Amino acid sequence: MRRPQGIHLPTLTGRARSDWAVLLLMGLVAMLTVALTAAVAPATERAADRAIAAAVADAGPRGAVVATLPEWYDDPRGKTRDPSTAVQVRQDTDYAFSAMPPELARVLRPGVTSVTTPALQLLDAGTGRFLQLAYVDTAGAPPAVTWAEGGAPRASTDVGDGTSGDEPWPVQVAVSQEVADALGVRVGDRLPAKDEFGRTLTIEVSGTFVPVDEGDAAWQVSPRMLQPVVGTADGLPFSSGAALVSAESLPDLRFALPGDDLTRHVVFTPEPSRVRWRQAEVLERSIVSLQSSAALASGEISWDSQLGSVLQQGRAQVASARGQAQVLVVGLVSCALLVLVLGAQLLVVRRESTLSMVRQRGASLPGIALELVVEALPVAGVATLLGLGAARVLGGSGGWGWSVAVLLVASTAPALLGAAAAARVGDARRAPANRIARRAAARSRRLRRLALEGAVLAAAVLSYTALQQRGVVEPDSPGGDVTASSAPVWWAVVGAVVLLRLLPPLLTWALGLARRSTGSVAFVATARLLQTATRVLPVVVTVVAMAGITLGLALTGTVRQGQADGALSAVGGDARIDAEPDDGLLDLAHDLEDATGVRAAAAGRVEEGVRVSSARGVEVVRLVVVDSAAYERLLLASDLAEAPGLGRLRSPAAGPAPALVRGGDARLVGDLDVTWEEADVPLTVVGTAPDVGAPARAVVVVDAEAFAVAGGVAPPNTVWAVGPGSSAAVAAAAPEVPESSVATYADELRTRRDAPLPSVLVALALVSSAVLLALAILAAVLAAVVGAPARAAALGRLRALGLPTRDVWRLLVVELALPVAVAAIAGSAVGAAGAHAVLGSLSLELVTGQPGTPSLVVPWWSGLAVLVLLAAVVVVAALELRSVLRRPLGEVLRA
Amino acid sequence: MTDPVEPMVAVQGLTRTYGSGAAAVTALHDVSFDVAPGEMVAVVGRSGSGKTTLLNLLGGLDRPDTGSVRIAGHEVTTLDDEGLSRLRRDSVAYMFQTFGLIPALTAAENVGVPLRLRRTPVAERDRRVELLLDLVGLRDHAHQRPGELSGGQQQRVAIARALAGSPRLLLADEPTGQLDTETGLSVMSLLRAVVESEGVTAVVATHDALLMSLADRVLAISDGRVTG
Repeated sequence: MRRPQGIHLPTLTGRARSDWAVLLLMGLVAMLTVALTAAVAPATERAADRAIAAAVADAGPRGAVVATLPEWYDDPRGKTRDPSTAVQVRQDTDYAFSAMPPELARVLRPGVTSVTTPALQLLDAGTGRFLQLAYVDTAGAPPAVTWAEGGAPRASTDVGDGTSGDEPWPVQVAVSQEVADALGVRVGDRLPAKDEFGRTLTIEVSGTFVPVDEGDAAWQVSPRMLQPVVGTADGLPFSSGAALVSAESLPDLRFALPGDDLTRHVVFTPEPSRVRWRQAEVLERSIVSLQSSAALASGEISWDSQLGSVLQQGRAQVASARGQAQVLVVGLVSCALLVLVLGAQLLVVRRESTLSMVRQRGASLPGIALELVVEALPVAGVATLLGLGAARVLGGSGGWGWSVAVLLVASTAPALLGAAAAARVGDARRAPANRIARRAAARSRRLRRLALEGAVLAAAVLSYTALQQRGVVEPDSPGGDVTASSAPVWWAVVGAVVLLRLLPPLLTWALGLARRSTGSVAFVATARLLQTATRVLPVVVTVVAMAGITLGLALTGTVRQGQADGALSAVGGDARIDAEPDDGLLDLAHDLEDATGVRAAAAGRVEEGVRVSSARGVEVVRLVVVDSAAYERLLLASDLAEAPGLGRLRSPAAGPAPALVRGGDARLVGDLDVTWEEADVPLTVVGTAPDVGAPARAVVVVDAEAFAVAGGVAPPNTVWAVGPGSSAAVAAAAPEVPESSVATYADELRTRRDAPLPSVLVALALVSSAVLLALAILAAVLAAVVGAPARAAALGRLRALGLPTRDVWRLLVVELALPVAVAAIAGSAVGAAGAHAVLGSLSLELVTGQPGTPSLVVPWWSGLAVLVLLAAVVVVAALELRSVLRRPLGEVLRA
Repeated sequence: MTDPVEPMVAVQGLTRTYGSGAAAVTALHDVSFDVAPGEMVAVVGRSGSGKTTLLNLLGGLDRPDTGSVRIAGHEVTTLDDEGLSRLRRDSVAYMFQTFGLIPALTAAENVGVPLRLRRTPVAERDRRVELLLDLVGLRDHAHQRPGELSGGQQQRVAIARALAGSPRLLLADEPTGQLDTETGLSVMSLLRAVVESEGVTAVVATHDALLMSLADRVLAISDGRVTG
């Protein structure tokens, strides 16, 4: 193979051997960066899949796709019993399934087909007993049960068909043990029943059963099959349940009741693990097209599902998290690229004399550059491949776009800087002898610098505008918006530029202060800093890295605090009991207040979907009826929202109950009427409700006593408690409350923290902060090594003048640590300011689950990063001092 | 107080070898000589002859393998780091071929650095700096930075700085190496004059024969041995 012209391989390998450590370091940086950036995409994709699956799972029945089959046609000339009714139902189910788009069908479980009646009133023993009949079929099979007594419902006749004159036609059904007990029915009972139009049938109980799996989706068709409701209505006892109709008894049911009494549904529940983030948008479109299909218009199957909005919300959360991850990755890659350039600079410094010599001997600049590329490319290439390989081993490699940038910079930066160094050899323009020419050169340098600074500022403004206008959340752009995501990095670079502008006057001012001192260290150190502290690249790297660290930790702190605030608000305290309405909960709240570790407790009625009307319109709200004094104590004893208006709810006067309102646009003002138990209760708005619970709709809060005075009676159904012992106290009290459930802050917080997206985002923020800190340390080390020869010579001359060793140490520490400290503090400040500026655009509330943008939290321990960096620099200074003192001074001065 | 008959510099059997084994290079081999107080000695020889090594050993910038160096009666080779720093701060001044000025400081501030190392009071420091800048003819350039001065002017600042601490011995390693012949001669003449006026003993390494005429004595060195 012909070698490229001008490349002398022995020279090349010899040079690489002598600088193997720097090349290895650059390779490691490239590998780490490639590995991390390549691993982020699949990691976030997996988290996105888990998040979408979790959103679908959390949605429960809301995520189901429900097909409503057309009403059965009743022949006006007279009905006949059709023994193949169940087969027809199954065929209709298959038809519904086939009507679905295949991409939607793939993520759905087999449909649960149901034929249900309205609640039929039983007529045999008094009023107040209702039984709904339901035929349920999942993939051709009824829900699995074990028979406690009797057996499955059978056909009422051996004859294939009946006639409409045979009414009331008996229908065999089976009931659960709970329903049998609640309604007082037994196997073999024949129960006359009628629908709301007085159409009658006879229900025959064939058996009682116990479900094999209460969680089987089939039971969701009519929850009262397993959980009958027993209570009072208008002062009379009331019980209601549901009974199971079999495939054999379905023809009897179809024959017994007219078609308008029989509702036919097929419920397709999504299998969360089959739903992928990338498919979500397609699924959304499928559902929309299904709901607006021609079949609906022609009166055939109608479709209903909230799955589309569930997926839309999930996608918005994923897009938000991916945008936030993008911001972190852009910061990380930018810093890594700058460190690679710093490494290239070190290579060039070490080879400056060789490059000068090669140039003086007539080598062309492209030739020099090509040699350096040939030297760096294998290192960068191998590092990139290893990084991609590591990412694949760790969990699949996805994004290789950043790898190209890393490879490009790692392989070309040494060549470009080397060629530039070689170009300076013999360049008379560097220091012209002519004073006017020197001034012109200086002016040209100033203009170039100004142009560069202007370009940086323009890029920062552009990226910030993009961030403000578009945000980083772009559901339709899976790759993310790099322009918007790079805003924090550009602002960090602007911060570094400002710092580089400020440092010379500040140091000159400090030199002026030191000028009148007697000693040497402060004076000489400041003079040295004027010469060395304004090197561009180390300052930019440190500011960008520290800004990235602060942004990452602020993101972590804000998300975690947002999760904590959201969990506390969602629970309404440290623990909560939800139960059926019962005045006994007021006593329970009093008892809880006396429990160990409980600071306050309150009981109240929380009712969703309550209709409220005002002169401006109607709104459906969450109504909260509380003991306002106890609730105020509870809020004051916790970190929940403040509620100065609660004291105004306790109005002793008769008339409208004072109310606090949150949300509801402008409709909920002035006098309101709340529809409560089919009566209107007058309210008057006196203030703003506390921001608790993150409800999806408007909230109206009233005092229980005032509400009663106004004509509404609302026994509490919720008890809240706050204090470190609340969870234990509530858990101990809950078993005494029938039909109750307990929610605790700790559980809610754990659920939020373990959620796929926030956990991956927090992990990424912490890992990127750690890597950025490592890069900042590496940058400080490289910058120290780059400047070490010149520093050793300068210190050597000062030692030759009599500078004692202890002052050499002081000078070294000041010269190395002060610029790093200033840049690190400036970077932290820029990072905190950047976090504040971009917080609203990051849509963190989609990840924390809060109603609004969470408050920025910059953890105090983010400052530790500055201390770690400084400690590393002091170690570098100590090592350099040892190196300086080990060499004879004469040798140092001669170098 | 130094004995009037005692030499300012007494070198005895000085040997310095760099490296070891087959790669060992003997830069100085059994060198002995004395320099009287107030004397200006030019050490001459080709590049690599051992001039710089000799000056480094005299100033305590390096340690010999064998032999002794006495400056004003004090043995230099046995001093620890602090002792050597004190010696360089109080008794021995060094001039470099590359001037060694701090770029961010003015000429006056550069001259004042050795006085700061000695913690000289500000007023006294200012007086001494003014005097020395006057002596080297740079009074009008006191507030200019090295980058604004010519090479000759920079070396004159270096002379002033070397003399600032009132040393007894001035060691100059190729002080005109970076200057053209005319400027070099002018700087050496100045050095000769200020050495006389300040009563300083000077050892100046050079390979420029023209400059030797300005010295009281020439010490020729070749392959690490004093040859004349």
